[in-house]
Amino acid sequence: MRTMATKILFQKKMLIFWWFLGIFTITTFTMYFFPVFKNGTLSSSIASLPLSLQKLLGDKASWTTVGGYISQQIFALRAPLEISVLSIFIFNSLTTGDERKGLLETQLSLTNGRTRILINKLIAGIFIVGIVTSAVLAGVILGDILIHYHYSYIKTLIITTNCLLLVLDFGLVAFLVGCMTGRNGVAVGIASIYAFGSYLVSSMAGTVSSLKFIDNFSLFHYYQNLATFDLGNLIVMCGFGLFCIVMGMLFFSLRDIRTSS
Amino acid sequence: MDKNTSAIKLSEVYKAFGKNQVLKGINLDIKSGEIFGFLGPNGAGKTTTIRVILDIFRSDKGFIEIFGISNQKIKKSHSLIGYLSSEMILDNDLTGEQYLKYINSRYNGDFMANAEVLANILKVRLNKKIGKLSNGNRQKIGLISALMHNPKLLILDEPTQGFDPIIQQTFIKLIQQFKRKGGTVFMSSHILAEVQELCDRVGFIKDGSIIGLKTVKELRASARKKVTIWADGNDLEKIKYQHKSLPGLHFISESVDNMVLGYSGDINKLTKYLSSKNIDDITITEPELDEIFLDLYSGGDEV
Repeated sequence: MRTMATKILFQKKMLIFWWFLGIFTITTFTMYFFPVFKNGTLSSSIASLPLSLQKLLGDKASWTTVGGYISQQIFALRAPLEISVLSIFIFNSLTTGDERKGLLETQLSLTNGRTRILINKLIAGIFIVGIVTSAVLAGVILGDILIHYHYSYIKTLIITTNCLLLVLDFGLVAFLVGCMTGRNGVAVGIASIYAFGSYLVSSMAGTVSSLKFIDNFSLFHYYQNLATFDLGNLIVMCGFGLFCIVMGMLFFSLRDIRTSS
Repeated sequence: MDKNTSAIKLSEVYKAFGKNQVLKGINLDIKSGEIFGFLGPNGAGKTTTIRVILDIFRSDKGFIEIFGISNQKIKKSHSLIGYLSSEMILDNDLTGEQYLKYINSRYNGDFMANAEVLANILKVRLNKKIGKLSNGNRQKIGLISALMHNPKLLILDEPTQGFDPIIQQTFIKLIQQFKRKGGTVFMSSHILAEVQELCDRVGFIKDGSIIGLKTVKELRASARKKVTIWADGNDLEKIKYQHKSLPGLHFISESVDNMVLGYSGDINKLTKYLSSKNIDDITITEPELDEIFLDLYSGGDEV
C-alpha cells in the first residue's frame, strides 16, 4: 500500500471481486441464450414490430447475428446501465463517502495535498470501473466459446472500450458534483438522473422529434455500441470526462472540507 | 531548531461559515520547542483554528506558516506535523498494522520500528481491524500515527478523550519525552490538569478571538490566590468589613468559623495586612488552572 490508490484498491478488493463475478456471470448467461433466440420464432416476430419498438428491443439482426446480439443485447443497455450504477457508486463513495465519514479530514492531515488525493481517488476509481467493465469482455468471450460461435475479440474490445468511456463519464458526473458540494445524496442523485435520463432521451429521440435537440446533451447520443471508434464521439466522451475531472479538482481546491463534527 | 523560530504563525486569520464569523483575526506565534495549550469553551473556535492550520478549512483572510512554510504547501509542511484529534476517523477495514504501514509510506524513511515501540508502550494490538477496536484503542493508533515519523510539531485536538487514566499518564510522558527531544506541541484540551502538567504557555480563545496569552507561571501569578482565614465570629466580621482596604483582596464566601477571600497582588502586602488581624489559622492556596479558566470566562476580561 505505497499509495492512496493502492490502499483504496486493497480496501475495495471484495467489491471488485463480486462486481466482476456478477457482471461476468450475467454476460455469459446472456450469451448462452443467443442460440435460443436465433433459432426461435422471436426474431421473426421482432421484424413485424414498429421501428420505435425495434429501437428499444433490437431489430431482427440483433437477435439473429452474434455481432448484432452482443451489440444490442449486451452493450446497448444492460452493460452500460449496470456498470454505471457501480461507477456512480464508486466515484461518489471515494469523494463524498470519505468526506461524510470524516476520512478525508484524516487524509488531508497527512502529506497528501488536495489534488494528489483526488488524482489517487481517480486512478483507483478508473481502475475499479475498468476491471469490472472487462468482465463484460471476459463474459462475451466465454459465452462465444460455450455456444460455439465466434465474434472478433478485437471488435468486442472496441465496444467494451466505448462502454467503459460511457460508464466512466457517468461516474465522473458523481465525482464532479461530489467535489463541488461534498454531498452524498446530491452527487448520486444528479449523476443517476443524468445517466437514466440520457438513456431515455436517446432511446426515444429517434421517434420523438422534440427530443432531438435535448439528445445532443445526452452521453448515450455519443455512445457507440458498435465495434468502431468514431473520432468525433470519442472526443466528446473524453472531453466530457476531462471537463468533469478538471472542474471537480478546481472546486475541491477552493472549498472547505466537510468534517465529522 | 532555534528556540526563537516560529513553529506555527497565524496572522490575522479570519474564517466564517456563511454569516457565522467563527475566527475573528487570530494572531498566534508558537515558538519551536514549546508546549502550547489552546483553551476555550465549546464553540469558541479551537477546532476550527486547528483545521485552518491544517488547511482542512481554508481561511478567508490572513496567512498561516508552519516553520516558515505556508500551510497550503501540504507535502512540505505536513511532513513536519503529527496530528491527532479526538474525532479522528481511521480506515476501519484495515488492521492497525496495515494502517500504520500506509502512514509510514507517506513519509520519507521507514518508521515502522517506531510504530512497534509505541504500540508496546501504549499496549495496543496491531493485528486487529481498526473497526473492531474500542474508541480508546483507535485513539492509540491515531497517537502512534501522529508520533511514529518523528514530527517536529504535534497538533493535538482534545487528544486524550477516550483514554483511561493509566494511558493518560503514558500520553503525558510521551509528550514530555517529545518536548525533551525538541518537539513543539499545540494542543487544545478540556482537561485542565493535563494542560497544567504539560504546557509552557496557554492561549485562551473566546468567540473566535484570542483573549489571553500567558505562560502557565504568569497566569498563576496574576490569578487570584485563595485565602482561607479561621477566626472568631467577631474577628471574621471585622475582616469582612475592612478587607477592601487592601487593594486586590476580594470576599468570596464565609461560614461559621472561616472566611474565603481571593487575592491578586503582592503577597508581602497580604501577609503584612493579615499580621495585624486576630486570626486562628490561615491557608493560602494557588488557584487551579480550571478556576482561573472559569474566572476568565465568566468575567470575559482580557487576561
